Amino acid sequence: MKILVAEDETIMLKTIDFRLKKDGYEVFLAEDGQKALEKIEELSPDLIITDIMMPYASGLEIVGFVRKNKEKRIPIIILSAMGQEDVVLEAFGLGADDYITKPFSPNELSVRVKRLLSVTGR
Amino acid sequence: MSWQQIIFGFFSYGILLYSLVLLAFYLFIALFAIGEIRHYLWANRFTDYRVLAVSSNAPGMSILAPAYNEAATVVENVRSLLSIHYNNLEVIIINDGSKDESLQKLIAEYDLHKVDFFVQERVATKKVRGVYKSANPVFHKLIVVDKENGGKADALNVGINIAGKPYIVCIDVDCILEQDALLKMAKPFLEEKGYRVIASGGVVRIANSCLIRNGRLEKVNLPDRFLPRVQTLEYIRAFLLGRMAWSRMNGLLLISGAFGAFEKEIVIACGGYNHKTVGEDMELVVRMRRYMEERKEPYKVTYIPDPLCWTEAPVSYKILGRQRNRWTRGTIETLRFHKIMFLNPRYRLLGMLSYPYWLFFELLAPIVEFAGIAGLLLSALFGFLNWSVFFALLGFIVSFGFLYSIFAILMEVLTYNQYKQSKDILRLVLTAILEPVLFHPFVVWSAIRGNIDLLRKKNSWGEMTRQGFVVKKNP
Amino acid sequence: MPFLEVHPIQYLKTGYLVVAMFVLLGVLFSVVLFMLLYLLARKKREKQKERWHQPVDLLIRRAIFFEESPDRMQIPITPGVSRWLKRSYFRQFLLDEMITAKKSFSGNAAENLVRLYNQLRLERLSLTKLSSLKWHIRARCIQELAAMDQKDQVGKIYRLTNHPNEFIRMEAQSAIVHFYGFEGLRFLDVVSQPISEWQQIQLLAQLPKTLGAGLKGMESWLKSSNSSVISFALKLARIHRRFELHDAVAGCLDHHNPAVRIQALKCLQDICNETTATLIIGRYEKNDRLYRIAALETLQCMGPESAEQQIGFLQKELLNEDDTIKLATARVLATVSGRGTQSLDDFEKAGEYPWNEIIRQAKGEQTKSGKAA
Repeated sequence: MKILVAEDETIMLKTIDFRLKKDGYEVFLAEDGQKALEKIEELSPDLIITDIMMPYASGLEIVGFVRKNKEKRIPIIILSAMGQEDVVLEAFGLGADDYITKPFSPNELSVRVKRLLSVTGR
Repeated sequence: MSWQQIIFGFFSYGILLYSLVLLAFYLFIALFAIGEIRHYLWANRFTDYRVLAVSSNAPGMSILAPAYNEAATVVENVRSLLSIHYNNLEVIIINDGSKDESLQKLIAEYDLHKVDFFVQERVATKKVRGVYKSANPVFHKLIVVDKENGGKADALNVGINIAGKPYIVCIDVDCILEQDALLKMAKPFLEEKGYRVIASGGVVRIANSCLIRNGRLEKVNLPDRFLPRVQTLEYIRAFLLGRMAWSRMNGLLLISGAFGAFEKEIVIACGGYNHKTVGEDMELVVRMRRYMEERKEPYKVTYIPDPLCWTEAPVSYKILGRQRNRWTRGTIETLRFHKIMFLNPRYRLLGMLSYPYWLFFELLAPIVEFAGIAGLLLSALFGFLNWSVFFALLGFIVSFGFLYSIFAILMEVLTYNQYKQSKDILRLVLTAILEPVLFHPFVVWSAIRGNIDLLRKKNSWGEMTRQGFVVKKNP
Repeated sequence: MPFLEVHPIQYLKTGYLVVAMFVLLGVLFSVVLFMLLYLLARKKREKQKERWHQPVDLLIRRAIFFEESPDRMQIPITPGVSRWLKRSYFRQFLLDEMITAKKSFSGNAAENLVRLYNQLRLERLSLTKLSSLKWHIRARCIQELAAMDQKDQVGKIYRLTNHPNEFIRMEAQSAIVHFYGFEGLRFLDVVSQPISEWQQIQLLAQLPKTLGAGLKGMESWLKSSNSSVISFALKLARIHRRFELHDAVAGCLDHHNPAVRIQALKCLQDICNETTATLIIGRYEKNDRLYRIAALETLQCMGPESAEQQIGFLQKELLNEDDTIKLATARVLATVSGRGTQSLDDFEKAGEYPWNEIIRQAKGEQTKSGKAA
């Protein structure tokens, strides 16, 4: 299972990487929105975890792009410090599958990833 | 005593007094700037701006970016504006009747459609042809306005009429903003100091030779060519020392048109940008201040020293000359519109210090300098000139100028330190040494030309052709 | 005029000028030299930081995923890191990185970062800074202690919530709210200085997202003599949908400060009941333009039932001479399908400018938001 993580804070990126690898996934990292979009094309991941506030392209743009241009329904988890109601609604409106606000627990993230992959895997 | 002596004596006393006051001002500005910048850095170093980005109580901001014949870069620049970290935001691009494909490119890239939009004419403008929004919900913050050509001030006024948020941020569309720029600009409006913040100015830095990728600043470099490099020095001096000191006294008269935030209702109450001047950015600030002074409401124009906005500087003497010529005309026009404030105690610091300073030391300086040189030549001709005194005086003035520049570089190194190599700093120092010979006379001459042109009633904007940034794909 | 007989420049002895020039040049060279040395030192420090980055990241990651077991009570520290720990510069660097990480994590991960802080006795670093004479160092230190959940220090911090220096005061207030959540807001009962909008946003960010039992005192804050306290209470009531405070909030519509009145409108929008629309519109006439626009916007967000009560009033306001008010009114009417939209269509001047454009825009926005929802 390939997971793409897009996040501009290094510590976060490495921590999520570590946690998901422990769960046995293949993890790919992108430190800005542009690289994330490139990697989505290149790898066609099974799940995407993305921050919203990133350089070049926001996480919401990534959701919009994936839902518009990808036949395959890739589950997307938004992981952001932005907890405003309108942003959360917008994210779900664009087609995000889950929304986690920071501060978050890496263990919880791991559970949500597992659940999403099992739901769509079926 | 002969009449020549009287004239000559008067002349030299005048110039001497003028120079002494000017030197005193420079010293004062330098010292005042240190305190203000130190306070700013101390107060904001531990600020977590993200808290504002993730708050639902952040004040709404409308970015207004007029575009005229910018087809080459507009799509990329809009994308970079849309990725700015600020939630309660709308990005309004005003197509000022471009003759190129600016509008078509935007429509195609962002899937724009004409929407029913009632444009309220709170400030009178040229006709609006249409308002466009994106069909793609990802770009819901974007509004593109198409209007008949009417110049920058008119385009900004259309933006003001359309803006739906309480604060407007006016920028040049080809500027590159840092992603946290608006978070930093919003902060002064939210602070409680017993006065109303009506406007907030930002620093403009020179982006020539910097590495730009997809409309975003990737790496800061010192410009390779002399002309942009000397402007880098000039901007550091003006923004880090001059504006900082004036903002501390609350005497700031100019917010650069390339990046400034304003309270919309006050802008509208003042009638928006004035399209009768080529210095619309300065004129608006002066008018807003005058408005507040006349209502006797406590207010402030603040200023953010962080390098948040990067722009391309002219690289040829020809275009630079036009720009400076325009600046001079803008200043003269602005000061003329508001001459009632000159030494008028009713306008307090604004009338008693800011206005006279601008008149005597920004506007008249090139003229005095020019006249001084002319007088010098004359007295040499008549044999009045004591050459050894002359050279000693010249040496003193020039070294003082160096020291002021070097001090500005020092401030830059100690605060934001954008140029990290010792080599770059040495190049800046060398630039400071060359400036009085290769750059300063040209600036003075352009200012004189501005005066002459204004006397001849020339009102065009001095078109600025752009060179384009260094665009490199990441390796 | 005898003074004119002597040329002024003759007073200036050439020698003095030359000396002054050399003094200036001397200063100039020392400044340049200083800059170069400074840059060198800075570069060295940057390089050092780069070297530290990897081990520090590793340590933080290890801390985040640390699991206590009988034979592993402490987070393991590599010898390299413990050697560097003797240097205060390294400790500060580590602490800064830990704080960045702490802001993003919750649960076990966050607790483990605090455990690392305690294990390394980093509070000693923070506490020396708390007694500094410089306000910015103290303010930053309070922020660090709060970020690392150092509740033990609350006695020292609480006293600073009314400190004359605004930065110390702000950080102390945020820290107390961070430690105690809603109960930490008690200082609002006594605070004398205004709490800036900026600080209100900071405080809201420190509060828990869901309402516990701790939120008490709202009624008295809504009547505070400090308008910024009222404004803050209104924001809280709105975020947590405190419907039971409806009448107290509506009371703020008569507050003397216009900013409070507007804030009350925004709050009512989310805690409204069937009486709210009448209360808001009842004060419409005696208020200024800003209130009126905000009132119409509130009405638009309150839902069609509330707007429907006011159709008569709205039809009248369509004729208001201010175009902003016309548009805001049309927007409210457009939310009421049936009677509202009908009254827009039937409006006598619906075909004339500017009403034609206003009505078209209001309807267009309504169908768009309808589609999105």
